[in-house]
Amino acid sequence: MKKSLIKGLFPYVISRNVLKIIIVMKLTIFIFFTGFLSVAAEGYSQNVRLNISLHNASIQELISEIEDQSEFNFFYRDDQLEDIANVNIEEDDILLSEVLNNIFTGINITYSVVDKVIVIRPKENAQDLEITGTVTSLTGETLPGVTVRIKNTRTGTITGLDGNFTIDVPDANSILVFSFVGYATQEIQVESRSRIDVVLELETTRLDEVVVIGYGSIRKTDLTGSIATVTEENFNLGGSISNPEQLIQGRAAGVQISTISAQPGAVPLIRIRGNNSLQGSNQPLYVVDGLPMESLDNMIDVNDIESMEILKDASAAAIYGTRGANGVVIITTKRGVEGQSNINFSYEHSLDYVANTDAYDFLNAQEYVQVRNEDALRKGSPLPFTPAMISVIDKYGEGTDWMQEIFQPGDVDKYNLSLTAGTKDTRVYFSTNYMDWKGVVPNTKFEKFNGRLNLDQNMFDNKLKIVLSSTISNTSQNILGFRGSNFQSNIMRNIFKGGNPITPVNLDDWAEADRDIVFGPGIRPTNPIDIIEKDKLRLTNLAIISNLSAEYKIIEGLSFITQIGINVRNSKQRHFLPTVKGLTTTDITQGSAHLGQGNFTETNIENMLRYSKVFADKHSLEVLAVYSNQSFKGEGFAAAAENFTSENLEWNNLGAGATILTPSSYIQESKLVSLTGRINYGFDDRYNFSATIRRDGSSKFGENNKWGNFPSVAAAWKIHNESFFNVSFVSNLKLRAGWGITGSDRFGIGARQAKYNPGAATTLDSDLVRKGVVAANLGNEDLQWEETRATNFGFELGLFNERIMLEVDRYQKVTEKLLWDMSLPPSLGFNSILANVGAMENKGIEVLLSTVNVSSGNFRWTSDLTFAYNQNKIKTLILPEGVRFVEGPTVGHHIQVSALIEGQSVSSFFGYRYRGILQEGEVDALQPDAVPGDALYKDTNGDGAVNADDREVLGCGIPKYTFGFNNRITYGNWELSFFLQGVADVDILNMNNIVGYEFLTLKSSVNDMWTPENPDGTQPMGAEGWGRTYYTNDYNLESGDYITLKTLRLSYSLPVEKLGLSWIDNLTLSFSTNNLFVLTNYSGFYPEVNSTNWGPVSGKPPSDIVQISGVDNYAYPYQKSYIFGIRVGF
Amino acid sequence: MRKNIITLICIVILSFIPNSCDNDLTEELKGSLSEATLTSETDAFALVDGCYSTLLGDGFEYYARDLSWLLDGSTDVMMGNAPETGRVQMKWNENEALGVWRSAFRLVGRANTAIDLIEKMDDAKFEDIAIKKRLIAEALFLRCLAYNDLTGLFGDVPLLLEPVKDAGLLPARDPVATVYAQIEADLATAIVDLPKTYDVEIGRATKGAAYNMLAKILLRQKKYSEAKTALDNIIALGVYDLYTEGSFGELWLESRRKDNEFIFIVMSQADDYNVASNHHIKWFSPWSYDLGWAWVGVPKEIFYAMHANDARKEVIIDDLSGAYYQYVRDYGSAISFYGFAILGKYSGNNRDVTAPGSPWGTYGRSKLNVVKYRYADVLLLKADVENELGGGPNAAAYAAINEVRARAGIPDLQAGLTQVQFRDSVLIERAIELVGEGHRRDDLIRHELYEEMMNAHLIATGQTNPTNVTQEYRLYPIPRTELDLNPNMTPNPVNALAIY
Repeated sequence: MKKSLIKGLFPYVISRNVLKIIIVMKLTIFIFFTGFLSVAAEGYSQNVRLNISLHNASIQELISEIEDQSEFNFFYRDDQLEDIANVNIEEDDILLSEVLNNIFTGINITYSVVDKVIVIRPKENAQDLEITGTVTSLTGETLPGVTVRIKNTRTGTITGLDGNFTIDVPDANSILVFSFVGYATQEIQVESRSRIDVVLELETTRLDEVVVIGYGSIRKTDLTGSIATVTEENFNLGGSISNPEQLIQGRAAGVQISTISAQPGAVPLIRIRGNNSLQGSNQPLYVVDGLPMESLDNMIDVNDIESMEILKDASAAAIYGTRGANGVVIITTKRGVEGQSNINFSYEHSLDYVANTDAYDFLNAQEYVQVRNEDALRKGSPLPFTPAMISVIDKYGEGTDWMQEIFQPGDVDKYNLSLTAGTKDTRVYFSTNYMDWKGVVPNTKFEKFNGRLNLDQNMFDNKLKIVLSSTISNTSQNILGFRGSNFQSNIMRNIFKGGNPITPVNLDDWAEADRDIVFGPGIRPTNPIDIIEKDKLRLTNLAIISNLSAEYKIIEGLSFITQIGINVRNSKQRHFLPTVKGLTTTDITQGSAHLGQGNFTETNIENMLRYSKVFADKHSLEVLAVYSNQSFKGEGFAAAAENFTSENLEWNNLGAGATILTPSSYIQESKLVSLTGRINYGFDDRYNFSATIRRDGSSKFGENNKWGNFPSVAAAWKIHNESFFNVSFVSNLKLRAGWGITGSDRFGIGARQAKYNPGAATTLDSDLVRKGVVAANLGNEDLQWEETRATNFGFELGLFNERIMLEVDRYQKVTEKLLWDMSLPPSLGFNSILANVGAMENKGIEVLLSTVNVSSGNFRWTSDLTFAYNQNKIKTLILPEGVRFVEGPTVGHHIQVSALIEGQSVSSFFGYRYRGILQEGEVDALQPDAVPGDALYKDTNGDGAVNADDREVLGCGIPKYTFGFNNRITYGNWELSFFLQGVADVDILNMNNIVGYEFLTLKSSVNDMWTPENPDGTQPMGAEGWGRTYYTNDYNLESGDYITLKTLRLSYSLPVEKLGLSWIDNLTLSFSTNNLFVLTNYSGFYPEVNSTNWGPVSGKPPSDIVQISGVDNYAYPYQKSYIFGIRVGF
Repeated sequence: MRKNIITLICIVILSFIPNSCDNDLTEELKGSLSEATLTSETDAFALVDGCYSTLLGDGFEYYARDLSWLLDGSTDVMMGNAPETGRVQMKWNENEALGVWRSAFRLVGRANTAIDLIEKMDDAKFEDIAIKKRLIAEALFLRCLAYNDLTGLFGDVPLLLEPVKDAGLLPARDPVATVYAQIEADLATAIVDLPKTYDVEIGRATKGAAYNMLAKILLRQKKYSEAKTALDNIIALGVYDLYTEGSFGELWLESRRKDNEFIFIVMSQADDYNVASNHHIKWFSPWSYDLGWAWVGVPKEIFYAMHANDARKEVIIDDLSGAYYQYVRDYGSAISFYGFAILGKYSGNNRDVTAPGSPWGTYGRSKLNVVKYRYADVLLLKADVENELGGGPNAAAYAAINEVRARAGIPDLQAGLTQVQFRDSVLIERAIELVGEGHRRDDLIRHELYEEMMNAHLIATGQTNPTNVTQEYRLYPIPRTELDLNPNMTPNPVNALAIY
């Protein structure tokens, strides 16, 4: 008798064998892991049927019988069973729940089911209230096997065959939780009732979810195109998340979101299925609550967003015509809900630290002096440091490590207050958000205020629906230059290039006599961080977006919708630099103040007719026709002055400047008129077809190409609904195919016209500036949009009622008529002409795998895995005879890093192959001029010499593989989520390292430099050892692959009822981290990095990024964050 | 109700009819001009001003820096110690002269546009028909200036006389003789219509400037007697003399820009770093000397060839006491510190208007003019021409050269020199007097001395690789960019000698 053996050891008895006992003990302790072992356990537990034939049997015998016939184990104390009378049961095919309910009715013992364990225990106490009731479905059928549980306890029961249940609850505040597979879980507070009848509603599956598409929405199951949906519950959370794109980084396959700059308030880079354009924008079109927008620019607050849909393939995006080629991001904001009235408040505080301050190792004062002197010695120039200077320097120790001096802990405060209310006819959502973000570099900050009012009003018996979506945002950003092209205003440049460990942070720490010896009499050298406090650059943006639509139901199924949207922005830039002795050049001249202002207005008027009807229960049809008229207007001016009466005025009074610098202004307007039609047809829930056509006319296009047509077709086949398909565990099996043409019109207004520029400055007396007129460009009346033709094949697989969901898409798209400033022979007097030439291809695969790993009682674990592969290829470039590539834009100090080459990807690093260092006594046949210590390069073309023709593609700055892996685990009131994100097959050129080596500031200048004494050195000898034309070589190129723990978040919802805080609806505390660790071989601060030369520091991403991705050149350092958050709802 | 629905449907249908055709989609540019709007006298001035604005390129190209490199940088009067010294060593790449090529053709195009549009303008739109003619003459002069520079550097070049409208028409090279004939004809027209002087806007083209350019073009063709006429015409204008009101060095101050020694200068204005500013002329002073940008100077051979008391040592400087850094000042001699003398003509020290006494603040900006033609050049050319025409120096030749020497405070040239001796003396005088102004190249080529002198210079200064400067080096490579983009263009022989 095994049982009795155990009885002595342990007061609890578990039946069956020892092995089982151990398992069950584990289960008891780590109760939430049980579900992991058994998928679909819940369904099993409640519907087991038994054949029992027992006469006058003890309860123990019954238990053995049940254990034999099912997978259940019982968990009880022997003494608890003593009072139970013997049983007589003679039943075939009886529900387990019914058996149990029969036994435990009317006695002081009860049971609860925890997964596959049935726990028998005494009723809590005599004061327990007995609640009875019946559970039925919407159609009135009684539901047997429904789990009835007391919330936040493990006490529970299941309903019998007739749907009845009986349960004892401790008090009137108890909440009963009714759950059953396939039905939505319901919670009901007991209050003073003793009978509670419940109607369970069918759970909407993921397939029934509604997905927003262009100009409407559709059931996910009826989708024919490739659309990624991310809803609020799957958004990334974190302190410094301020842009909607960051919410979905890694969450949607094929949507690559990366950082252009990590500085406060910078916008991210988003690429949907790769880059389509060489010099136009590759950013998608945004549609916020129905209003199309070119960029978000911090205008939409992340707290207000309910869901984001990304139209990835051409069949989905073609409805946006000339603006759909880069994909479309549809943002839906929160709205009021009928019958709900909530106030929510949340606060987050984030502490940010530079992700990897140890990335770079700088020389100390002694090493610096030595390296500088050795370098001078090699060049035969006078030694910069004399023995007298050295002895002074040594007196002050190792000098300054500027990396330790410039960074500070950053912090972010985020507040959100929202209110929702709704009656049958009027629904309101109102929110206000405030964010204050202090950067990890002093004097960089971002501040944002955002307000939103969304209103829904039904009129005339729901015949007319008025929908208003409006937001106002005000941002302010203090930035410093962090582009490769910035001079002294770039603190990183100051450190890598000019960072001098000798200069003390505070000059007064040195005796004046010592300063005179080292720096020269009376000279006070500037130090790298001086400029941080002095250079002041602030950008502010005020934006108002309002979209009002009215939908009138003309007859059943036919509605007319009219919509008027406006997006008004005012942006200002202020820049001031005081006179700083010793500072030679920055982006603006010393003692000057610059003000600039821009006003942008976009209006959108749309009229739509929509007809939708289901015929004969089998044919569902939706027809849509849209006419839209959009206009864009931009206006701006800038002014500047210098020689101020007092520099204390900074930028606040240009009138006090004695010298007025040239002002400028511009105005530009364009119009886009469109006609759009769409038909969606579904047959018998088995086949879906969709066809769209859009006709766009734009004022920007050349006279010969005013109008363009953008068609698409797509179809889907739901195999799982076919009668021949009979695999019960496959809940969804669907094939999709689509084709379409989309366009991109992202070129400047007026680009096609031959223009005369009236601002050519000259002087003919040296005093006054005269403005001359010069021909600015050659016109091109053939100019048109870039055209992308794409095909998409996808399949969807859902198993076990969508517990496992797999979506795979394969696409191919070719963009032709690329917008390109085609170089002209200089003898024509013009540099280039904007033309439609060349073609580019993107091919790829996307995978989304969503699983519910565990769903058991109050324990739930879900995972989402996204994976994407994209291969970009330049198919044709129009190049002159004999020319095999076009050099990309230069970076930093005129360094060429990339090239456009047919057959290669954009952002291909293009340079030399490193061969080694010439040793003493050697002569190199290929590089006869090389002296010992020079770098040697490979003669890749085999022509017997090393020269520019030997450059080849070394790598690519755009990752080919991207993935994200999100996990969410909830247990009771606890929730743990973690999100891994990564990229692979990408290279980075770390220019910080190269510059630091060249300017003898990094330890590598000592350790890696070849010298006659260090013949194993791998880097060429002396400052400028690499020679700038040779910067781009495979020695300097690094892998940028990484995996990062983007987010780790733990939250706890306080049991507010228990705490007696019944006036609070919910109260959640959370702690999370961003970028806690990263696995990478990359040597810089962080592998998610990009630097551009000339692009804007905020607002829209620079368009040159497509050609020079993967360069790390004085970029703002990436941060690691620790975030505390509180959220309370009333 | 039914009526309402019908009304509504009508509205809907109406709203779908696009607001008729393309008229709505016309693009109107408010911030730029078009050919149709350029019709008035003001516009004519603006079009010519647009041509002048081309001369400083984008602040680096053409007269702002590049041209001085291509001209004096390929001779024995300039050297440097920077990576760019490759140019002095004749280590050229094929795009060595791209900047000037591009800017000069831009000037050709803009001048053609100005001439075309101004000619089309109604005479009645001008207050005085002479103004219209003068503006066309200025544009003609500027087109000639571009071709003067292009032919000197590249030989045969495309001769473009109409505005370019079609990107598909790719120009081919015309013989240099054709281009010279066109320049001579254009200058003949310009000389008639240009004024002798301007009251204020002294940066504009004058009769004297046109004569001076004509003389230069004629000399390239060794048409000495016609050149003599042109030079005599300049002198006969009675407008110009040498600056003797102050020391030679003062001539180069910003405040002396209006002196009548200057015949044609490219002017600059210093209020804004990016607007009509020639800050990059600071190429000529080394960083550690006066915070200029570059590293070039005058070879020590020139310095040593100067008379001990030569006043021009004010701008050809060995003394480092004016250097910015103490350790440089301590060094004493520029020749021993840099290996060459400082060329002070375009140095920061001359900024007596924009930033007296301070290299900071207005760093990189100045009102220093780039001198194209000045009277000392005319006098020395006259000496040269008289010597060539007469088979030896005559009194006029001696008078001309000695006027220049006297101003420099050095004794008259020794009397009784042979033609060759006098020629050499004039060349040395011109090298010293005009260093940094871009005349040496034409001088040496005209006298067939280029290869000999350059090889001697490279050996003397230890710039030994390559040393064999051959006749091909008289022309620069046709820019690779042009060759790649224009199948109608042919290379120069030196293209084959260019390094990558």
